[in-house]
Amino acid sequence: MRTVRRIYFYLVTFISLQVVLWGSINLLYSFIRNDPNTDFNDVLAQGLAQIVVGLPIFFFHWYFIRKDAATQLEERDSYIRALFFYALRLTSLVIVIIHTYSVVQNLLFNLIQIPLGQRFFFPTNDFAKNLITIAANLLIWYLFERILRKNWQPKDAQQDFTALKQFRLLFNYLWSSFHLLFWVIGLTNILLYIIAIPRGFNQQFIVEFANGLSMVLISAPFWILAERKINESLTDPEHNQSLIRKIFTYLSLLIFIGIALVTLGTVLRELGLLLFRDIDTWADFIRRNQQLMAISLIAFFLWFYFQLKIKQVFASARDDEERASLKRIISYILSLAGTATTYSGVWFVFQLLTILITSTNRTQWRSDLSTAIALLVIGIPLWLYYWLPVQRETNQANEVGDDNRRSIIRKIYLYLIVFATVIGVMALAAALVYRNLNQFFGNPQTDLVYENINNIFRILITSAWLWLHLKQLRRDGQLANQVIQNRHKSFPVLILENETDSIAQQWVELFKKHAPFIPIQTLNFNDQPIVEGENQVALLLMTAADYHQSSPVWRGWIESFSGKIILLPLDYDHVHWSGVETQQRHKLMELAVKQTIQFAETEKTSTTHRNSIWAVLGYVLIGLILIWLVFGVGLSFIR
Amino acid sequence: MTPKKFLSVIAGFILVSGLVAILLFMVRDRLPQYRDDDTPAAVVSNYLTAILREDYETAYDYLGEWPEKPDYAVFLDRVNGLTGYQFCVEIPEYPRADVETKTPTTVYIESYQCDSEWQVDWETYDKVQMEPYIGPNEARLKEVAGSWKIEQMPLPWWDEAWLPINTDKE
Repeated sequence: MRTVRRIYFYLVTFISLQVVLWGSINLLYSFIRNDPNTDFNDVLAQGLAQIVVGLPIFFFHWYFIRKDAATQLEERDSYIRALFFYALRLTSLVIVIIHTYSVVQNLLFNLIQIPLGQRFFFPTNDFAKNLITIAANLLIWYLFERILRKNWQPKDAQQDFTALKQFRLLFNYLWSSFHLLFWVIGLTNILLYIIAIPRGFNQQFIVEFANGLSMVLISAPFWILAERKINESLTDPEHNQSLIRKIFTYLSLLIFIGIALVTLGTVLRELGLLLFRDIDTWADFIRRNQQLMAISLIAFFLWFYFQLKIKQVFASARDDEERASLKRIISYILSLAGTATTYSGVWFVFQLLTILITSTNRTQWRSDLSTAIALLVIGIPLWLYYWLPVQRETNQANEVGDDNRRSIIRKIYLYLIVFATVIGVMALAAALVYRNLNQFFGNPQTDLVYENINNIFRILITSAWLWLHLKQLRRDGQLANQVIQNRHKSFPVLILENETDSIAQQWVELFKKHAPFIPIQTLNFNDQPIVEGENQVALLLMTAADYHQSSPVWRGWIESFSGKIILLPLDYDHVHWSGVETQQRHKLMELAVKQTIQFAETEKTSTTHRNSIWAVLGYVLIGLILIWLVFGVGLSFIR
Repeated sequence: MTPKKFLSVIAGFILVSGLVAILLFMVRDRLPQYRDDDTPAAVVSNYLTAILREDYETAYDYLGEWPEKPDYAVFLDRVNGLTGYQFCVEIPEYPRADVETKTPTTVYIESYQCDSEWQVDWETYDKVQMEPYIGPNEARLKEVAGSWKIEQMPLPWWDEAWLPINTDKE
């Protein structure tokens, strides 16, 4: 309830502040620029209305926020409060920056004499409007920055800075990403101008040059500063291990790899069209691809940069296991993109083969051949570069291989491909049967022979991919079974029982059924505690009653036993178990056997990582990127 | 190499790209280039290019033959100094080169690049500036012995006295 109340107060404060801010900007501008074409009374009424309504609402809510933060520790250190300050900081500064673009564009456009209406940012804004907006937003930023700084000053020992730290980190990454986006767009426009010059009748891309230059002039220095700040703060262990860092680094790397490969693939395809005379001249080739070439060049630079950053992420992993799983994410995502691209390339190769076999007169063969070459040139290296090392690791019958085989991302990768190829084979086969049945029933089908051969090839290619990955799944299963068997064999269990009880046979039966490779030894409490291979016994199994009634000699032996012990909580005599659900004896014994198996198979202590909201968000975003990469790399340049 | 060091490389790349673009902008050839004149659109483009480059004889050569055609001196008097706002126009590649074009044909000149608010002071061109003609900017061309020749251009690159009395309607 308190969280909902908090969200309400901060949200209304934020909105009312923006209403007052923009009302003031409009009002101030209308005073300065007394435009005879504008209805001044209307502007005045609108601005005043925004201020008159917004200001009391803002002060009312802000009063309670201040009061609560001063009296309640929970309120002061809350995530919503930290979010409010950093969201306000981000909004104000982003508005300042995009209006600064407009100001610089205004200067540049006047300098090189091109119409102001062609500015990318706020083409209708004049100098005064932009300056008022910048000044007003800077004022808001300054006022709330002072309060934020006070929040960072320690007031008592209980003060919790976690929320502030998290949102400061998030702000730093968002701020850097914002500038990265805009200088990349700006530099693309500048490169476009360089590549295009000096062709054309209209002094091409002068508008892009001026717009791009303004964005680079402002955002490139800010990005470099933001990145330096981020890199320097990696000495802070919290930042070093933070999920926000990992998410932004992974996303940036995957986005730029995707852009670099998609644009490179498209340019390669167009190069093929030039070689096969589908594009007449180099000038035409440049004209068609100048934008892609500009983006590609920048994306390769940034790919390398974020590759270096991801290596830092790997290096800062807590242990080898975490490092391996961090590397696996990149390897499997890019393997998937590579395999999808290669598959598409092979698909086009067989389409060409069908044209040759059937001597079909199809004009698109040049386009198909260029697409196939481009897809294979990009897809095969990408696939092999990431897939082969992972495969080598996975095929090892050791701990590393086992970790890899059991990783969730590998399972998702293999099952996703198996699922897609099964559905694909089914759809292709259905199309093949449908077309032929239609012909058989008297509906003539165009290019039936061509379509049939093409479809058969497609079914064969898809089946080959299915077989390859099914085989891998089976091999993973076999190796996993082998490892499990070995672990079971090296996990001997000793069952202890009383003379009166004699449940040892039931235990043996259960182990035979669930884990036949676990060595079982049974002993009676009436015997002497002389156990064969005593040092090798990994687990003791007995009922609580038997333990309770055992002799002091046995008790001493059990106490000195260093392995694991499972006691079966069965009621006996006047002893009852509180908090333990009454189960049937057989059911409890089965649970104990399963627990034993779990102990046998999990040699390492399992570490549980709490899934925070950032983790969930990160997984969702990585999933989206994965989908984009698969479809983007594989299919985007099939026109 | 560390990300910090590579950041300097990126900064250098941005700086060099920006400087190269500025340099190219400063030394750019501000006049348009001639194209292959195998399409009606290219002929119109070259006609405007010739005027812009003050290569009036070439421009005159692009004209066809018709009774009201001005002689070279009259033509020169009209088009001399028409520089500047040709930058505003765009000549779409229509009719396309790979499609057989009927003769006579029409090429549409779009002046979308400029708007009425744009009062250009082209420092490099000291000739009289004119507002782009706003209206149906159509050029008419006729194929003569395998080459496209201009028979009519929109204002201001034309004069009403030069209009053919009996125009062929498409």
